[in-house]
Amino acid sequence: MTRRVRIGICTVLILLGTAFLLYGIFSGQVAGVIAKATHICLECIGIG
Amino acid sequence: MSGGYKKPAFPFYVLGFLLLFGLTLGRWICGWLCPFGWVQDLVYRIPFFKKLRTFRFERYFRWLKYAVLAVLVIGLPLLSAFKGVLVPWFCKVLCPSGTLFGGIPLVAANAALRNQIGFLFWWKVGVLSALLLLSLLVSRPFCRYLCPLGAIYGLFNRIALVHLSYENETCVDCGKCVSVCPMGIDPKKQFDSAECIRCGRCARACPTDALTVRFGLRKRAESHKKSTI
Repeated sequence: MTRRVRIGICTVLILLGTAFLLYGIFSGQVAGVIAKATHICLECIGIG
Repeated sequence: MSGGYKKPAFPFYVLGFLLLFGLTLGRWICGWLCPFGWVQDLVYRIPFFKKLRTFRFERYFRWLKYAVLAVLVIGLPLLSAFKGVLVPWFCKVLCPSGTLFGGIPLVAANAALRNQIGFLFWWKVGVLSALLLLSLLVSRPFCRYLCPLGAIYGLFNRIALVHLSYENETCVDCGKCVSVCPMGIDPKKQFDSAECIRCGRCARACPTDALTVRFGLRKRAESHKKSTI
């Protein structure tokens, strides 16, 4: 993989990642992730 | 990753997060941030009659983590979502980290939870025990063969800003890097491999500084070197 291709892929993915992250934040997905992370996850425990 | 939302929705936030962290750190996260990786490292330090760096057909076992990613993280949760139930299958049936750091302490401290445990809990304790026993023999077996997050971050290793730099000119072929690698790879030939967790042990063992862990864009020459997965 040449340096130019590597930088190109990196740039596209950084832009895509930033867009996804921002869209996720503004569409309220953060609350879902935080809720899952802060409550007891019964699946993690092996009960759910 | 798949549970927690009321309605099935494309996980923009989680994917964006994975993309940005993968692009900046790659599997450096596995080497330096994963608590279960640390536990496996500790267990591997316990003296055992024999340590296996690799074994026959081992490279085929390494593909298992991609199957876990495809089936337990993407496929089955998607199928469940179409049926209207959100089930994080990987967490539910396989994740040993959740059992070790969440399940066992919570169940030990909470009588109400103790009354609810059943087959699933003991299955997960069994998976955890098997992996810890295997860690006595093989370094980081969960990271090598089963971890879907490692599989995702590994895909970014070739382009991530944190990378392993190898200078062919200064290498004296002493083999020290190969003997210390916890993932059982040859860092000289596989410095861009999806298996490399950027722990830097090879760089520290290298007597001529031919291997170094760096942050930033790769040098022009590094981009043209050959690397095998």
